[in-house]
Order: sequence, then structure tokens, then C-alpha cells
Amino acid sequence: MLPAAIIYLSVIVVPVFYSLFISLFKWNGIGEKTFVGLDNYISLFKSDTVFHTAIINNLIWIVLTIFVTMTISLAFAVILNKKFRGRTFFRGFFYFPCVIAPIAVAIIWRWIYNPNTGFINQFFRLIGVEFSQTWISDPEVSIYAVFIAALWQAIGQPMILFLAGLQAVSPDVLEAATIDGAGGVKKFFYITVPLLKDTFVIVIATLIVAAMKVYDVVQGLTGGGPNNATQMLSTYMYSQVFQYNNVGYGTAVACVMVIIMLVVIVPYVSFTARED
Amino acid sequence: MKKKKIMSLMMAVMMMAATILGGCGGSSGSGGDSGSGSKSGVTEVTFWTLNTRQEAVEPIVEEFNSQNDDIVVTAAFYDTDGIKDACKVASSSGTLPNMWFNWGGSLGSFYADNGLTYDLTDYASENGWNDKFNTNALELCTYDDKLSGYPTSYNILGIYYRKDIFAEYNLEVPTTFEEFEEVCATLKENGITPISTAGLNGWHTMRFVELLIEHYAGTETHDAMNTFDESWDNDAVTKAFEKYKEFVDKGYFPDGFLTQDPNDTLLALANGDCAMDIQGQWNDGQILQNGLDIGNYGVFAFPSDNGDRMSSFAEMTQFNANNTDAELEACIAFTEFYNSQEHADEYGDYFNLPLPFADAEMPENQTNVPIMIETGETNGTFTIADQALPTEVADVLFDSQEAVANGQMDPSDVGASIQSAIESYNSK
Amino acid sequence: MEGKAKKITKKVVLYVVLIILAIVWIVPIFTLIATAVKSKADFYSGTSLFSFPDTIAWSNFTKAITEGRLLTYMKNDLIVSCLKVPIGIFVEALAAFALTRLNVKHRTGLFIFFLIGMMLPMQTALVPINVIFSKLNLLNTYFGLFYVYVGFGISFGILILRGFFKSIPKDIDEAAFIDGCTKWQLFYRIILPVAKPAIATLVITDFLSTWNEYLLASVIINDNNMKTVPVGIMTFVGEHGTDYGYLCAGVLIAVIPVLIVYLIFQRHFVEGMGGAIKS
Repeated sequence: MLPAAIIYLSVIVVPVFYSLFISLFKWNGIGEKTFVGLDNYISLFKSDTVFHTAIINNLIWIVLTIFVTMTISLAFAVILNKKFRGRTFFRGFFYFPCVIAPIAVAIIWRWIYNPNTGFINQFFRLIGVEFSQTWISDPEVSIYAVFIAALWQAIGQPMILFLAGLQAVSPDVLEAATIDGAGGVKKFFYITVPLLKDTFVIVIATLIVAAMKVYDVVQGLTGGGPNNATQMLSTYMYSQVFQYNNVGYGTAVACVMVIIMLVVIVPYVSFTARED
Repeated sequence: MKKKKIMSLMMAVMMMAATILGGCGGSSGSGGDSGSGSKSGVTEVTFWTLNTRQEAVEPIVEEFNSQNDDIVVTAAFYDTDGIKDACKVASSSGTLPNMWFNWGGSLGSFYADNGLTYDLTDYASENGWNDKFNTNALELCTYDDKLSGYPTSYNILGIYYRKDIFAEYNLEVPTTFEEFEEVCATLKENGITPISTAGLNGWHTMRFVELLIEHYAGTETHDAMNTFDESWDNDAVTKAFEKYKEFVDKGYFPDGFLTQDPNDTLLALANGDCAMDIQGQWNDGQILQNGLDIGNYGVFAFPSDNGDRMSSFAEMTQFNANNTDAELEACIAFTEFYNSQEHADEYGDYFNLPLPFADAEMPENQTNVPIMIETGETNGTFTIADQALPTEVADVLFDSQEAVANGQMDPSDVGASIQSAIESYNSK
Repeated sequence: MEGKAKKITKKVVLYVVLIILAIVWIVPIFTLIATAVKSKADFYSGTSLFSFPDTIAWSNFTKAITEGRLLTYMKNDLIVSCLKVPIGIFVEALAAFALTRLNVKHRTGLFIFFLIGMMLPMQTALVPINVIFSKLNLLNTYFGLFYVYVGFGISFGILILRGFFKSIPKDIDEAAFIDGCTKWQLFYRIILPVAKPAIATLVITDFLSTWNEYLLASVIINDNNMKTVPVGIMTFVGEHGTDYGYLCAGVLIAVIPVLIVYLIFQRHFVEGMGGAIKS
């Protein structure tokens, strides 16, 4: 375990402490650092409305991810686990969006969402529905529109994790259950799901982390707009650190991100990690 | 089992390869430290610039290196956002190159204000730069009376329009604000969206909004607002945003323009969906590169009823403050070499023409460029808003554009919100 | 009789559902491909973004390879990925093995310690890493990039491998010990092969994230000849306008190696625990 520990220490732990350290200062990246203690954090929580929006957006994103992304990828995995012709093709097919560079995903979906020439609105026109929506330009809807674009790309990953996990569910156990008279749904919930417990831990942990850190798709599609409707903690941190030169303040945002993740994931993982 | 053995073998090979490669350190060594100094008389300097210039920079660098035995220039390329990030990271870690590309205004001032750029004021006066360069260009690169960069381009913005569409509806180029509104109304009646704009990241829509501000505030107030000498919480800003909202509601901008990509505004013009687009003189180059007929595109200065000033900004090469004299000489020699008229002609596509010299040649076939430059000289110019304002204030302006368009914010509140952003910035 | 009919209907339903989903799924991909084969003229002439042009502009692809130096970027990316994935997985497997099989104290605590790495937003690590690397002269080296990637990948790798190692029943261990295996042999000959689905998944995932990683690569590498693919693709984005056909063609080409890795390793999703029990 030693090699892992050494590399890890140098690459991760050092920046973590560095960031914690910086977040206690007011710094523009170059000049003098002025120590402000916890002021950065206090103003973040008290008066920064954009920060509040960003946290809420991230929370919405987490909820959506767990309920939508995970369920859909689990469904896909289950369907694609059955034996049928062309299974490999379909698996690869649904996984494909995962491998495309995020910037391309953003560009394509912006075209799709284009109110005039975009696919969705044109489709509605084709079927005669009078429905015009500006999707990502509409502050109410934009975050969900961005989520769908991200969903398209994100399904592949949990799907193959679930697929791998499903391999471990021995068909013998399932057969035994059928003999006992259990129907498909019952089998699924009482046998498959518990056997996938470890996979669930992995998928949920990964999804939550990804939901907190989500950056590329949002930045590419909306840049955090309109009017901060899709601002995420990561995009907000980016603008604070790199564009406004409030390095201390921005790093505080990053630390908040990490703390939230810790608070959510650690209890969950340690609970499931206890040896059964 | 066999697979396992193959894997372990592969891993062993990889490990060895890693150590060997690690030792050699990649193919071209470390190009990322600042001011690598001189080895036995050879000055090595590093240059960071945009990747859109790559096709020109690389051959010119080679030419320069072969012509100058005692200087070696190494160039690194970044995309528009990447270079801003890379420079920021580099400035925090002390690894800025010897020279780098930057924009004027608040983007460049960060480096000047923090003492990272070489003060060229003396060098400039010694070498007669005041005569050599276009005065506006020099001014846009000067902060606190210190010249902090070598101007590499001077850009001026006007309203590009489709001549044929205007002709079709018997429209003349507007010379007053009222006429401008009439033109928009006529276009809209005939199914054409008057103005092509895209709000992603705010700066394209801002080009229109700042013209409205120029119209309602007048030249002096506008300039004073940009230097924070006058508060933004005033009537002019409110009226400008009310008019902006009016335009949004009347459909003078494309649907859902707020999150459209500004890189695509030309597309709408080319398709005939829109008739006008606020762009800089580089747009001629874009039109030609995309195979469109430049005869169909004309340009006019926005009729602000206040002298019709045009928005402008500059780009420059900044030099590292820690450059030794030898390095500085080398850098300047290269920059002059690169920005010579011959190279601009040869690699026209990759330069933002014309060069910011007082007597620069106009690029061939780009019919609108001389018009814009002349009009800029006659009417005068003001600094473009997203360079005049620091990024955090500009972002509040962009947010207001979005909020007002979506009906989330009342135009009368915009001024106050921008002003409070200015105040927090000032108290930093 | 009834059983068979039911089975066939089930299959039909399955196929129908899949095809509908596939159609929905394919729209963006279709756009990508359709754009990649359009020339600039076609793009600007107003044909719908979602239809194929009359002539296929292969020039976009050739341009991406020659002018865009896509092959160089791919070569660089390949080198880094092929280094990082095997070594990374090996290191992570060792750690996961230790966490689940060996008697290490505070197992859960250590696991959580490693997990924190996954949560760190990469942007915050940029400056410290840049500082350290420039001092150690590791900028612009394959080794430097690879080292950082391994570091960031450790958390995820341990998470997955530990999960799978845990689900391998301890009976196998005992059977092995009875047969006289040492711990190392247990690791190499039993655990690793059994965890093949997990490792295969990890290979695919790891390769993909290393291949597509943009942020760290853009900071650590600025020598043009050493850039990786995502950084290289960004060079296709212009300052005042983007040649979308060119960009999409580049993206499509860049996707190929990952697809190959995926195709090679996804077979392992079909193998189950059967292998382990037999041996």
C-alpha cells in the first residue's frame, strides 16, 4: 500500500492543505496575503447570494443525479444484462456519449436547444405542437435543460459499473428464487439489489462527487447564466479565483465543496463499509 | 492466467519506460520556466500566445531563430480562455514566460498593477514609439502612465450590415438614433431579426448595450463612468436598459439569444436571418475566410446622436518584469520582427489587421476595414466595456443584461446594482 | 406453448424499447457526425444542422490530422494513458488488497482518507502543483503529467477495487491458503483474475478520464509537441469563430482510441464468477 500512499500524499494532500490555508486569506494571487481568518466563509454564507444559488443548484443536481441518472443507468444495465442478440452493440452505443470531449457535448446540445433551428423545437413544430421554449436561456428551466445534456453524457459510466456489478450476481441464486416462486420484480428488489450493495456504494459516492464537481458541461453550455441561474460551486469558484482574482475567497468556495461532500459521503460509506 | 502474466510483463516494461522517459523529461525539455537566461551567449526566451496565431507564429519563430544565432525563441499556444488561466496560474507560481499575449483594459492591467510587466515607458520614448504607433493603441496599453505592453493590434467595432437586405427593403444607413429604430422596425415587419447577437458570457450583447449607454449618457459621462469617476446609478443607465428591454420584447434580437454562442453571430447574418451584427474590423477577415461575398457586407458607426463614437480595444504583448536586459532586447526584437508589415501581409489570416502602426497598410480585399479606421479617427472612440471594467463588475453588467431580458430585474435597478459592485471592487 | 409466446413478446418489447431509446440517444451523435462532414460552405448555406450535406467533406478529417496535428496529440495522450492506466491500477489494486485482506489497522479510516482525493476540485490543485513541478523541472514531461494523474486516480481506483475485492468470498482465500499460497500468490493468481470485470471497468474508465483530461494537461504541458488530445482539440476553437466541421471531425477522430479500448475490455462484463469457483 505504500506506493499508493506516497503518490497520494504528494499529489492530493499537499494541495488540500494549501487550499485550506489560502482560504483563510485575502489574496489576489500575487501580492501580499492578508490574513482574514474565517471572514471569507462568513461572507460566503451570510451575504453572497450567488453562492447561495450555487449551493442550491448543486443540491438540486445531486438529487436529480441520484434519482434520475442512477435509476436510468441501473435500468439500462439490467436491460442490457439480459442475453439477446446485439447486446454488445447496444451497450457500446449507450456508452458512446461518455467518450466525447465535454466541449463537443456542450456545442452539440446548444444546437439542439436552439429555439429557432434547434432539434427539439423543430420537432415540436413537426408534430404540430405550439410550443416554444428557450430552454437554456430561460432561468426557470435552464438548469434542468443543462442536466439533461449532462445526463446524456453521464449515463454510460454508472451503467458499466452496474453491469460489472451485475456479473457478480450469481444466476444460481436467481434460479433458486424463481423455483421458490418469486416474480421478476420481487427477484430484483430482494436479491439483485442487496447483492449490488457494494456497487451502489461506489456508484452513489462517484455520482455525488461528480454532482458537486460538475463543471465542463455547465460552463460550456451556459457559463453559469442566465443571470446565475445555472451557477455551480465549481463555476463560481472558477470565476472568483481566475477572473476576479479573489483567490482566497474562491478557494474558500472550494473548501466548502469538499466539506459538503465529506459530510454527505463519509457517513454513508462508513456505514456500508462495516464488515458484514 | 496467461493474461495475468502478460499484464505483469507489460507493467514491468511500462515501469522501466516510465523511469527512462522520466529521466529524459519528454521531447523538448522544459519550456515553462521564466527567463531561462543565457548559456554561453545564447539568450533563450519563451513566448505564450493564442493558438489561433499558431500558423503564423511557428514559421516566423523559425525564421527569426535561424536569422539570429544568439537568440532562441520558444512559443507555446493556448486557447482564449486557456491563456488567461495559464497566465494566472503562472503568475501565482512565478513561472510567467518572458513575453506573452494579452488583451488591454482590465485584463492586462492585472499584470501591470502587480508589477509583473516590464515598464516600457522609457524604452518607448527613447525609440520614438509615439510616432510609430497609433496613439489610441498606445493609450489602451498604458496603465497609471506606464506603458505595459507592445501594442499588437488595435480593434475598432462598428455595425456590420447586409447591404443586399437593406437594399431589398429600401433602407438607408441610419444617421440618427430614431432612424436606427425605424430600420429595426422595418426589418422586423419583414420577418428579419434586426440584430444578431448572442449572450453567452455576455460580451457580445454588451456591445449593443454600451452603445445605448453612449447614446443616453453622452460621451463625457460615459467615459467618466468607465473610470468610476461617475456613478452608474443614473438615469442614462436606466433609460439604456429600458430601451434594451424594449428591443428584447419587440423581438429585435434572436429568440433565446441569451445563451447562444457569440461565435455564431456571423452565421445568422450569412443566412439572412439577421441583418446587423456588431463586430470589429477583423470580421472582414472572417467573412472572407468563410467564403462569403464581402460585397454584401457594409459597416457603419452606430448613430448615438453624440458624435457616433466607436468602441475600441487593443491587444498587446507584455514582457516579464524580471527579464534581464538581454532577454528584453531579444523579446522586443522578436516582437518587432513578428509585427512587421511583410509578415502581416504574408500571414494576414492570423493577424488582427491592420497593425496598430500610425501608417499601417490596409489588408487587401477587406473593404470595410479602412472605413472603420477612418471613422474611428474622425468620430473618436471609447474603451469597450468589458475591458474598461474589472471582470467582476463586468459580470454584474452581464448578469443585469440577462436579468432584464428575462424580466427578472427592473431596468431602474441596474445602475444601483452595478454601482454596488464597483464599490465592493474599490474596497478590496 | 404459452411460455414460448411470452418469451417472444418479451423479446419484442425489449427490442422496441431499446430502439426507441437508441433513436433518442442518437440525435446528438448524429449531429456530431453530420457536422463533421460538412464543409464550411455547406455549414453557412443554411442547411439544417441535423441533415447530411450532399457532398461529404473528407477534407475536414484530413485537415484535422495534418493542420491540427491530431496524430501528435493522440500519440502523446496514448503514451500518458498507457503509462498511467496499468501502473495506476496496479498501485490501486495493491492498496485495495491491503485494505480488504491484510490486517491493516484502521481500515475504514484509511479508506476514507483515500476517498477525500476524489472530492478535491482540480482547479485548487493547479497552483501548488505548478509551483512544485516548476521547481522540480517536471513541467512539460510525460512523467510529471502521469504522476499527477495517478495521484488523482488513486481514490476512484481504490473505491472500485476495494468494493469488488470485498465481494469476493473469503472461502477462496482459505482454500488457497490450505493449498499453500503465499499472500502475493493469492493476490496475483486468485484475486486479480476474479476481479476481472472490475478491473476491466476500471481500465475503460481510467483510460477514458486520462484521455479526456483537460485542466491539468493544459497547465502542466505547454510545449506544443507534447499536448494531449483535449488540449489539442481546444486549438480548433477559433478566436472569432469556429470551424465546426473541423472541430467535429477532430472530436470524432479523437474518440477512436477510447472506443477501441472499450471494445477490447468490455468482453469481461460477460465473464462472471464462474472462473474463480472452478479454480
